Amino acid sequence: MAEISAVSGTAARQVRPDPTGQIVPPVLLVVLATATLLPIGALLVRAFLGKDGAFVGLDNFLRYGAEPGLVIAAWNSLSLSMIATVIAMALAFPFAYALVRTAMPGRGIFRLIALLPLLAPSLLPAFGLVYLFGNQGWLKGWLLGESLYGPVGIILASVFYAFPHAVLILSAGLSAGDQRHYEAARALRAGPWRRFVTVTLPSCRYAAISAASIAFILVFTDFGIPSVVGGSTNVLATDIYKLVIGRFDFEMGAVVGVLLLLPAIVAYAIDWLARKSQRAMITGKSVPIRAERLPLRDLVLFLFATLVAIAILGIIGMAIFGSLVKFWPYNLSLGLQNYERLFSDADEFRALGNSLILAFGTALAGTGLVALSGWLIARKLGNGMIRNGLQGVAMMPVAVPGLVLGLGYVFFFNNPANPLHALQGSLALIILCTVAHFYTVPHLMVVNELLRLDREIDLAAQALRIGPAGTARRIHGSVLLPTLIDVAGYFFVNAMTTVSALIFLFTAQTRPASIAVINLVEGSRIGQASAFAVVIMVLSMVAACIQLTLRHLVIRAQGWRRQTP
Amino acid sequence: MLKPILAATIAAFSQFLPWAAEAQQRTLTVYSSLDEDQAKALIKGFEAKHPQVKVNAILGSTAPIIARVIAEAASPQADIIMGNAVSALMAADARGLLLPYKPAHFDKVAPVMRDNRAEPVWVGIDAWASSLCFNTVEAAKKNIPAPKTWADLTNPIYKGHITMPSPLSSGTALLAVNGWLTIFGEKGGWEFMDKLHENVSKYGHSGSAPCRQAGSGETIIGISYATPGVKAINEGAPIQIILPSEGLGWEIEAAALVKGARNLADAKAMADWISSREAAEISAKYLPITAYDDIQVLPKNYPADEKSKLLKMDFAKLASSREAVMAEWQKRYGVKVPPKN
Repeated sequence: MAEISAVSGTAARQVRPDPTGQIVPPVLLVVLATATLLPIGALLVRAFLGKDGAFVGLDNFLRYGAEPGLVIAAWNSLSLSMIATVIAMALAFPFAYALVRTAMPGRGIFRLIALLPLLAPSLLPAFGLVYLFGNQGWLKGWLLGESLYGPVGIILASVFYAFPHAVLILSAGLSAGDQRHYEAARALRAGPWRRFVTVTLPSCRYAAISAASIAFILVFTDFGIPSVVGGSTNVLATDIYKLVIGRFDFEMGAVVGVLLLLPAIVAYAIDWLARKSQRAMITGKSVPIRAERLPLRDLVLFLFATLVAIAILGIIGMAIFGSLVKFWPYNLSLGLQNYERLFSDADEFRALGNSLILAFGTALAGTGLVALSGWLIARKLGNGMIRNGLQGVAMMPVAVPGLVLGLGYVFFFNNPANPLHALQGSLALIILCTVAHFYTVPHLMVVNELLRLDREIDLAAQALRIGPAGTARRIHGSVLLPTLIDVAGYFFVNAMTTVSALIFLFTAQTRPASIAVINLVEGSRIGQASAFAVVIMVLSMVAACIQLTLRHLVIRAQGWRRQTP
Repeated sequence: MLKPILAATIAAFSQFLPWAAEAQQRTLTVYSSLDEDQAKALIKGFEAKHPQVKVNAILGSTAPIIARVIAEAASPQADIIMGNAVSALMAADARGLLLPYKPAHFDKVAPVMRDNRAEPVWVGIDAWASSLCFNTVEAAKKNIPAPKTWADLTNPIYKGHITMPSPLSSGTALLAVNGWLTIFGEKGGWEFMDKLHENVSKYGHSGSAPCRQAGSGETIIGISYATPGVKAINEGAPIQIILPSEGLGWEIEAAALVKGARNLADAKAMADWISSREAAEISAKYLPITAYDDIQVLPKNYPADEKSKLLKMDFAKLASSREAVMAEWQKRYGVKVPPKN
């Protein structure tokens, strides 16, 4: 009797429209569209408008196509991004694998070192590379006579920049799987290599595709690297800077913005196909992965990870060293003179405070939104159209250069006709912009994590008359908690170092430390700029340590993760 | 040490929401591309005279500041631009974003340092000129002599040792290019740049970077302007600032009101202050050429003869040919990277 009523109750539930699936997706879509799609659209629509605001069709595209050098810039952008992506993936995959699938010693330290490039304002590695491989560099000979300034510098710095993003996505993808697959493979007498090729690789295919597309797009749209170590090598991302900032030609800038979106659309299509073919990796009967002990493999990977770590620490360490010397490279006596100003100037101090508030706000708001959007996508809740819209909106920001996003925010929000106009000039708007700017990677982290859960778990929850919200709280929430901690950390450290989107949005009161660093560079105070960048990195490192500790504690507290069959 | 932290924290929190900001004091929003110390000193001078006004300053490079003003046209956020290249101000003026105003001391400002149209839009603060930064240590290692003229730079001995900004992203580069076009004429100027191109190792984006690169030995000669070189020398860089004998391209940094300014009366008061001799005396501590001809102060390590080497330049013509010069440059040098050295 009780059984029957339970079944009929489930049936009734399925007929009744589910409020979570009906209300949350559209509301979230509106919020995210306001933060990303509408501002970006407000700028990109200018690609089709004349200076007077009249519709001119493809005139601007033709005008841009006639610019000399476009083909070269496009070719440089494509080929250099491709090379950097391949190298970054080749380094990130074994590194991530070593982090989550082996018993290699020092995994926590290695994870922190892999994240370092995320924690430092991009200026720091750029200086580090110059000090190491520039014309006065200590290791100049390693480039075999090639100049740092040009393709070599762009590739080196891009790999450094994309590496932690790839490691994050890959290690999230690799960190869970089903131990039973490995037991089965072992029973079938598959050796370690065979198990790796037939079980591990297919299970992280989706994460690998995500990581590669993200790395490619990040490098493709980045302006900072080619502008510091690119020499005279033109790429599309620097073109947009020349057009918007140098020539005040927003229309042509918008054209380049549209062109930069193209590879992202391709990446989105690939991602969509991969998602369609993704099968659940964790089922109701899943057994969590236990890292296998293979001494030889672990030793090889340990040596590899050590080399990568030395490279990262070398580049960052050189930059820190540069901030401590009197005058590079002619007076290498050490001193703290570059740090003194920062701790005596109220404006610089306020900038640090602003950055911390910005970072906390971004971490809070961003994590909340990402958890929601990732959950809706992965659990296929609500209307399919709205879900595809959400996924599109979430995937878009990564493809948009910060400059385009920031300008879009000005055009969209700094308009008396916009009801949100009052936000102009507030820290809240800067937080929204920063959440939008860094939305894609955390969104993918959450989606990847949840996609590995089996639908069976949802059905069981349904049978137990727990609605989607309850399932989320009881099951998804606890599966997701470590990832959400990573997501918050990711938002935090990116907010500490972001520059390009904010150069049009900060005000005297809300100027963050990352902008203060740029101001110092513009004022030719390189030593102080490096010192400030180091301070930012140290604050981010503190945040990252808190993140790793929390993650560790949560995983330890969640007994089901180490359940044995 | 705790005090600034506390003050900064409170200030930052009060700004979290726009409507939480205190409204007791009147505020004035100033955009500036002047040297940071100079801008702060000028603002301090203004606030001392107008204690009821709190100045909120946004500092940035020449082009991004003007780009921001243009982007904000729908609802201007700035009240006054206190110091930006006149050529860049003209780009904003051409879009109708600046408000003509004749500041109180306008007539006392040196005629060349002010907008002499019937309805003046800008009043000059200071001027800067193109110059070379030359690293003596690296040059000695390679046995390279110091150049004395612009023409010297085409000597093959300098091949691969010169950096300069691209005029497509830097006002400083445009200054140099306009200087060469003035010195050598239209045809001769481009011929000079063709030869210079053979020797340039890279075109960057920042106007001050070439001097910094010379200062740290990344290049031997940087085509830039004097101020970053002076700072590098003061920090201990082994460089020499060279002002080529043919003359220097130069430009004025000026102040202008923003049309639609919310605090117009205070913005006008700021323009009045900027045009005063007192303000010029403050600026003279940072750059030798100011709005008042007779103020003669030379900042430490600043080259003495900059003023006498300034070229006679037709600013109106240069403003109108800005786009064409950029397009020609892009056609000639933007397409192919400089030859390998």
